[in-house]
Amino acid sequence: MVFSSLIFLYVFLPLCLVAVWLTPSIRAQNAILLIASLFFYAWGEPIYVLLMIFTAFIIWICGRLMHRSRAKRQKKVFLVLAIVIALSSLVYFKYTGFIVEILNTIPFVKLSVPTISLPIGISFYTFQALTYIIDLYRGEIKIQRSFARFLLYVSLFPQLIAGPIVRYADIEQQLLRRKITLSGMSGGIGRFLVGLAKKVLIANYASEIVELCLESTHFAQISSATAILGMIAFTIQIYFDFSGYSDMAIGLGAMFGFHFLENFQYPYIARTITDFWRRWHISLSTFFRDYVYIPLGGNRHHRLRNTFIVWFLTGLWHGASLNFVLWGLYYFILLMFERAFILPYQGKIPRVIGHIGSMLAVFVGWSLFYFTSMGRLLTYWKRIFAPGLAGFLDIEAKILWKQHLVFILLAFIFATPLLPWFKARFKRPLRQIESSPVGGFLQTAGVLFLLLLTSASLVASSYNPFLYFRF
Amino acid sequence: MPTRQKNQTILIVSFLVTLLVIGVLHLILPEQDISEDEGRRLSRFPELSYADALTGEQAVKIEKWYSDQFPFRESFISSGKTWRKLAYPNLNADGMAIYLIPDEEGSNLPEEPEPTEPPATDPVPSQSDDPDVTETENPTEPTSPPTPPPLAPDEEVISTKLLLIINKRAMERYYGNEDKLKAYAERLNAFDQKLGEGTQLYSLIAPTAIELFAPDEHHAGYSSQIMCIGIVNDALDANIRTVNAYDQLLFHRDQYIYYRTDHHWTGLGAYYAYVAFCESAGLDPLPLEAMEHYELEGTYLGSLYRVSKDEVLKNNPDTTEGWRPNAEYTATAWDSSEMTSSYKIRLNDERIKGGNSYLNFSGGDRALLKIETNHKNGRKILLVKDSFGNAFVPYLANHFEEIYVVDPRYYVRSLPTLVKDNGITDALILNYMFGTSNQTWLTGFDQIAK
Repeated sequence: MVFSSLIFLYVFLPLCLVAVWLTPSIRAQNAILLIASLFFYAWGEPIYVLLMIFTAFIIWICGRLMHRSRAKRQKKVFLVLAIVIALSSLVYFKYTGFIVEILNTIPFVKLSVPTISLPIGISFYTFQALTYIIDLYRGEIKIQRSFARFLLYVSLFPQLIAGPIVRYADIEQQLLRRKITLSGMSGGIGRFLVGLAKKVLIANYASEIVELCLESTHFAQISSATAILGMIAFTIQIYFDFSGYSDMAIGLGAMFGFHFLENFQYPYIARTITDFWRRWHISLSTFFRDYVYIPLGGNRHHRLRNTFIVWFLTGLWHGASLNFVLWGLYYFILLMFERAFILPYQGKIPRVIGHIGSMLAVFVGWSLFYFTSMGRLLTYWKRIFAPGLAGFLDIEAKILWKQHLVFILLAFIFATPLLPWFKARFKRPLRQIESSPVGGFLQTAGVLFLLLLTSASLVASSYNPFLYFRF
Repeated sequence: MPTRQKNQTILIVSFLVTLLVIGVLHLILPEQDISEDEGRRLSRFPELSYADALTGEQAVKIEKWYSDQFPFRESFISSGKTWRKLAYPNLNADGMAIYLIPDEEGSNLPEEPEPTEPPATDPVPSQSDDPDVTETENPTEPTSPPTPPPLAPDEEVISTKLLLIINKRAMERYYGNEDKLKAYAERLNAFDQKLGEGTQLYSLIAPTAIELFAPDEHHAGYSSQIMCIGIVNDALDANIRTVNAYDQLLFHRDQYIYYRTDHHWTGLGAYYAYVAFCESAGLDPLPLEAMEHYELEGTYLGSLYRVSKDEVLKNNPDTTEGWRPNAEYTATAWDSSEMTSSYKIRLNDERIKGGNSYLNFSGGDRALLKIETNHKNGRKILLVKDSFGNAFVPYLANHFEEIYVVDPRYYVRSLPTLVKDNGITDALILNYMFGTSNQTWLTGFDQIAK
């Protein structure tokens, strides 16, 4: 099931809310949430739900065995076993086809490419489960004795399908001690609807512009201006899609009393690439930092090698295709370059240059991310630097730019922390309004407006896939 | 309770109650059968099956039912549309719009919509005056043409193309491909070799509306259809006569020669193409006055409206007129590739109107239509065509003794044999500009041109 579907909004969500809110005991709430989460997952993946339970079980049982063992060596055996099993299942279901294709490029190797469908959210829940076993080995968390509670952590529906990657350590306490508060519920509702609006009202529309520009029959003959517009729209689409999903996850969590960490911090206002990656998909970057980069030696030994491995894996995590690997390595090179030549002089570079440079680099990055076919990627860049018959700016580009310029400008404004700035700037008066009847009316009206507007858009269009399902 | 808490409670309760009320209304409101606006049947709750449940197909069906039967669905849709118009204005100040439309198999638009009832046909010619003849009385039930087998795309998968709306007229952007155009000419050359000396081959490529009605910048470079038709003509053998419909249409572009909401030409546009054909074939075209004129009742919203659902088009629908051939004739149609059953039809059938208006001239695309007239001049023609040919067919009845109309997407037998067996003297290949790269048509043609 996806959040931006009518059946989730009008059947699944209200039933869950009523059931959980009317249940006083946390244990009973956990039972409801576990059943709901498994149902949520099985709705779209009736078979693979067993795979998820199996993965969770293996890791949980390894955790128990690890806990019982005395010797460090023995503990390590169970850690490695858990990691190997979890990662093999990820590699098998996500990368087999890709690996076979690579093997087939070797002369005389002709293997048939198997068709294995990708279980939704496998990249997210596998990583989540791994944080448990690794942190347990490190002694940073306590053993979870209840499998049901561990499964609830792995499968909790708000963050199950598209993140954020919630670490066990971060919600260890919340699995047994959490409180559903009025401000948590109302704040969560607001946050959820903002995320839904980002997805339905902004990302979906941006995806239509992307399609208009980059998916037409005459893609090979588009003008440079059309090509640029298409990638700008994709830049908008991917941010609002993904951060919208994280907003919805955090909002839903809050409604049930959970507190998840932020996953995005306005990445498009970054001044450097390093800064961008501190703001984009934070839960993934910190996962790789804490579970790959630092264990490999971090900054102390083989820094270059470690950074390379992290970015190679980051790229690969996003999809089983060469272009994602290139996308990761592209950031590896940029970050190395930045560390050597830009960060030392950062104070001397005007801010504007930093913002523009970073956005340009991100733009180029999204082109690597967007085109899974190398041929199309090359055509794309050829059309930008060597305009074909259509030239730099043809009539089609003029119409498309004219039609979408206002939307694009507005979307970029929404991608900046304008609202938080406004809130901080007028903290006092806003707080006063908030605790007045007028403020209450406005908030409720805003929530209902967003709900009905997104519903109207959902009813009006059948087009509604989540981008991050690919991962 | 402090105001802040009260506010939060009101917010939470309103949110939850809205969800529950709509959720419950969904269950208790009666289900709808069809959506008039979309012209389709709405999904009902699916039959539950174990197999569907295992594949996840069940969930897909249930979600489709859920959104199709959503309470106040039409109000939600129209508010969604209003919001879209406000928030993402697709129309410029000059009333120009641009859409991305599905492109089925290379470059062919979906043909006529699924008729709500099969087009009226005459079971027997003698009864043709009886207006009450209904299709149910057909002795030979017209079978709908089989769907051609899917073909492997010969290049990267292409799914969409651009639709422009300028001055209340919808037009598809065209992009020619030199190799494909030359390959088209080569096909005709090879076909001409098969036909031999006894049969004169003609080639007519109809330009589309964008070439005639849009500002030059929309048909420059490889979008220039005059240039692309030139590429084909230059590559044709000298024996093949080309029909210059382009100039005839261009010089009459102030008249109603193309639909505005459909990708086809009108009966009048087809007439000017017929005049051009007569020039090439050494015939005297009949003036319009020499044929009986008629107009279809009601209005017509064509294929380009159906793919764009554009309001401007909806508010400015097309009308349809035609001219009956000045001849006695009988017309026999074979719809399906098997050609096991045939039935008689009337050309320029005024009973076929509304959403099916373009079908009035000679019906829709089918395997074979054979017309026998009262002319006794020995000239027989084979017309190999796409849907543009359908409006063109009646005019041929003014000159030829027998007319064989073949659509390669449905006809599966050998054309050279058809020509030889029936003593056909002339063969015309009529395609519209996009048709020269339509894989289904071309593959079909390759099969039967041998």
